[in-house]
Amino acid sequence: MAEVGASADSPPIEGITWLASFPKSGNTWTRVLLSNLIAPDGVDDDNFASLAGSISSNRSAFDAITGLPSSDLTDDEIDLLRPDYYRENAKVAAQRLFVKVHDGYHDNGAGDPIFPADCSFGAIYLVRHPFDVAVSYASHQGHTNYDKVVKQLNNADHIMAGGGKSQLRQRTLGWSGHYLSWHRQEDIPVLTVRYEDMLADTAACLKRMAEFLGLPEADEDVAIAHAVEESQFDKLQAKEARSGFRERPEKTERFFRAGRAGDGWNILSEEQREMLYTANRDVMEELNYTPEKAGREQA
Amino acid sequence: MIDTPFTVSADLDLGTRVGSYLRSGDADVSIAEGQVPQALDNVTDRGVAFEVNAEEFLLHVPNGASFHVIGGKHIRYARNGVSDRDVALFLLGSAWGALCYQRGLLPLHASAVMHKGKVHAFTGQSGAGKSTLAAGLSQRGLDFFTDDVLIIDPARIEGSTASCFAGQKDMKLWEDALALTGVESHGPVRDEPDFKKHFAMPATTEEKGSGDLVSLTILKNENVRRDRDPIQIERVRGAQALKQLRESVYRMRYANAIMGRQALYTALARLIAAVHVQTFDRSMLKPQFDNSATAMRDWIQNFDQADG
Repeated sequence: MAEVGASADSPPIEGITWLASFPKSGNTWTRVLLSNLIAPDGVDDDNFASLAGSISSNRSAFDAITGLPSSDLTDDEIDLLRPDYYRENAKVAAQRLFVKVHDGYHDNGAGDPIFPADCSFGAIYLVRHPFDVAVSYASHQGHTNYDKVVKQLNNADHIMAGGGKSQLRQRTLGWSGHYLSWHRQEDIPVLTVRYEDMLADTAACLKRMAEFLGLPEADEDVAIAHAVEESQFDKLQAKEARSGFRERPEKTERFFRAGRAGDGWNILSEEQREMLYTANRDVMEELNYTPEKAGREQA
Repeated sequence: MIDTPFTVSADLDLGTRVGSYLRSGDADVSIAEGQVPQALDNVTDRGVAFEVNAEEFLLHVPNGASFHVIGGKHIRYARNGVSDRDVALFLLGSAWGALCYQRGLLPLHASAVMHKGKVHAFTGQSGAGKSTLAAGLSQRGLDFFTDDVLIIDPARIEGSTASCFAGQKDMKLWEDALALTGVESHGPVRDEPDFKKHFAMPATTEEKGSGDLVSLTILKNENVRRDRDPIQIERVRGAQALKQLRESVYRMRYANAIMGRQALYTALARLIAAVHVQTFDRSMLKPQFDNSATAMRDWIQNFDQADG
């Protein structure tokens, strides 16, 4: 087969910006913020985010672009095609793509990174305190079995979807593994943003993202303030109550649940917090995430 | 009425899925193992795993077989070490789709049941629940007609009649869908270990391979409104129907590349004019399956009464 997609000597002008995170870490909020900053005309009651680009695990887009039925392929066979799938995505896109990613950064069975640097602009990496992630992730799955989500966060083999599910398999590599995988690689530039910092100063974080992306809006404080205003959590909650949100899992009551920090301390047991801290201590310390609530508030 | 849109001779076991297409001697299409090129000349379109030119189609399955489809008359395959089962799976899927386009046929990504001699099809994106619904309906008294592929012959759409053909007479279901519908497995789809998709034959299967298509239901799970009705059936017409059905064309990229955009849209427009097109928005939660399958069965039975 002749080579397809972008080659090393003709990289795409824009490439894909990966919005990478473990689930429930501010990824959707970031897409909403960037949409309100750079493509506000496409945001309305039916559309929360207007950025071009989908999620890395979009099964029907994979089928359309590869010409193969993902549901007849094994998850490992799908991974063999994913690098070229993203290259083709970037090649045919008429505009800059922002692709949501819950996969850890890893290779496929042929030794090629799933997310190729040659079609990538960079990655904005969103991270959130694992205690709060656990509570939100349980809600996302439609249950309150926190022991189960603690095990998922601590499990380097934790996967999402795949097989007969509606999305392609995503190997999260666990909470720490996810963070480390994206930060150990050196091929794709990464901007790391903590969810807690977004809550504390949303405008400053959005400005950092805009600067990283080389957007002209980075210097437009009024536009940034407007985007922040339009992306306030209570506004998103009200909009979901009014018009619904397509990405809400059917098992859950609402997608935009609380949008705050600190639930992990109020809801998880001491034992569950201890299990998370023990398994993720190194990365938590790197991110100034402490196991004590007082420490969190100072973070 | 002819039962298949073309006939086939093959040098490998294609199972029971396309039994009515098979001939031991002369046939419209020959399928044989042989040399498959790495690449095509004068390529007009190319995806990640396929290439197309004016006469040919080439597909390479990762770590699997390769297929060369020529002029709507020949399929050459290179086994590359995989079993008959795995060769047949992609041969009767993607390569079969390309063959249809080369022959001027329009394959839809659809499963269907037959009731009182009329075909009712269900289409939607991968994972939308087409096969599961068809299996559920066959357990509720309707006859299973085809799985995954429904072939339309644009030359046989006349006024309000659209002839259609079954693409596959075996159903493919994931294990959880087998459990949900009570349909029995006939063995795994792949020889790969831990691949949890199975061939299955529903209890009530229509032996006929052709019929008149009367309704096309686009499966949805919009899941937007929290206070929505659990089941919503809504007729769509004209441009709206065209937009919705576009995503139901089997391997859309092949269609554009081989059939051409204009011919494709002309065929879809004629199809929409001939059959009842609607959306079916329902919960995908397993406890709701009985309700939604029963609602669709009732709709089909009532449609038939109203129509007939």
